Amino acid sequence: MNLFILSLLIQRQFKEQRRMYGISLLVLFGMLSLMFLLIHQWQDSFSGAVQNGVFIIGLFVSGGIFTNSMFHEFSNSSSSIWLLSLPAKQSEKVIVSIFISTVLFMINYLTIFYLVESIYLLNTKGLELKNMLNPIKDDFYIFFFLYLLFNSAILLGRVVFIKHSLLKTLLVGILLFVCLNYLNNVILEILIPNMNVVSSIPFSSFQFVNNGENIHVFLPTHTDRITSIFVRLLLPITLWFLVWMKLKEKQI
Amino acid sequence: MIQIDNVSFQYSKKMKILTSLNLTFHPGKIYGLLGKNGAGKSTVIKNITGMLFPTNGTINVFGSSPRKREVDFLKDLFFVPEEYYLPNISIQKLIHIYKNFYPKFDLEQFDSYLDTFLISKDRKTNDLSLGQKKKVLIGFALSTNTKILIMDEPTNGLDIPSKITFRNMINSSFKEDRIIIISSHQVRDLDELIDQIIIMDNGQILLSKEKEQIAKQLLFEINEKEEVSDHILYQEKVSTGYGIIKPNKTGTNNYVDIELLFNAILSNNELINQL
Repeated sequence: MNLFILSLLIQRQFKEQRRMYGISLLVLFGMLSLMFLLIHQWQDSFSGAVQNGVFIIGLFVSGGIFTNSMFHEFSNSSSSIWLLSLPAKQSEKVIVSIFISTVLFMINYLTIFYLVESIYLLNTKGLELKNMLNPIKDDFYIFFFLYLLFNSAILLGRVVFIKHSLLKTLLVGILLFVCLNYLNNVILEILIPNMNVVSSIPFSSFQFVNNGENIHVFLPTHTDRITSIFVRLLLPITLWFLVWMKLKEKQI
Repeated sequence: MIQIDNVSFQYSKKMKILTSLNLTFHPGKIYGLLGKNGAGKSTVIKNITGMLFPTNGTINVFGSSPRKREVDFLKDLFFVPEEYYLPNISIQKLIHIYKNFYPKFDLEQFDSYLDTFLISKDRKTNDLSLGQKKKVLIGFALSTNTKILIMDEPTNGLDIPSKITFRNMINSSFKEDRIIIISSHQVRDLDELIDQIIIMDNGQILLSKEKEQIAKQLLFEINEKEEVSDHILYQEKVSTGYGIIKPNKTGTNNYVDIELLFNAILSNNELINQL
């Protein structure tokens, strides 16, 4: 890994996309402001941790669109040739894309989010630390890990699909989720026959009705930890690895 | 050296593009890869540059396999595709970013090309015409001073004065350790520029010969009237009369009419055997 080449690749990305990134930050500011305005206007309809909801929606919508702008060269053959023939390792190109779309994106996202939230609180509840979103509270930080998984899936879609990669990746993701849920239910019904399984979340928990009573079953702690490591770290790393493999084998 | 051994390429079982191709490219030569549209020129080039991988056979480029796209290989090869891309930034920024990827990049050389083409460095690439963009890209390609320079249809989109300038640029940047491969279906554009002629058709090499050797073996003439003689290998009507190819019995080097040779090779197998 050559640090000089990594810095050149980062510079390249920012100098070429400077205007687009500037506009995107303004759009993000506007989008978050609008969401805060909506929850303020219809505050009677929303209850609970509304800031958390705004944070998650903003993170996944803007993060998805931003991540999809990595490897934008693959949308046509001439720019694909330009990127693939650039003298840098394919692994360096992948690492730079991951770094920009996770670390640098997150820094910018958090800055804009807390700026908008501060403006919102100033005009509503009052700007106090206790009113602000706390990412550590109630395991909310899990969403940062889920963002890594989301990021790796979008990047993989970017190098696999040529046109409309974001839509295709989301479609494949939704289909996979639905199939996994269905498969989960089928397995549960085989394992626990004659039980009415009412809900299940793959790799997490399920609920069934027994004698009119709702019973919620969670994974044992150690299994839950393994599952968490798998979903939060191993799966994103595996998908990033696949991005690298696909980039190495990409033909134009 | 670029060594292509028994290379075949196909997109699918029904769509074979290259069949058992063998070619060698030596440093210090400018190669003209000629063929009709769809002859397989771009596929050969993409296989050499590592943009496509051969279905069968091997390609060796100065000890590297193109399909691995290793950094040392990419640093020593610049490819100007027929449909080219330049990022939408000023030429100044473009150079500032990309020159560092190529260790032998010569900034003065690039500036001199821009001066020749009368293009300001402050202009953004999207504000340039297609021809101007191509000039910038060709100027950049030459200034990288890579061991291998491959250009696919480089004269497409260039006006007549620019085509002359292009030829001068290629000649002036040519070095003994460099391999330049220029693919074109506009045969006349490469006249006086190339050392070796490679003619392709239907994914196969019909001819790969040094121009000097061709000049020793064949005589190219323009006659006012059609000639009937057993000595004539090929003749066709041209604007000024009849273009004729005969065996060269004078033993001296003569002018090679590449366009006439190209048409002759595509339509006359006997001429290929003669060579």
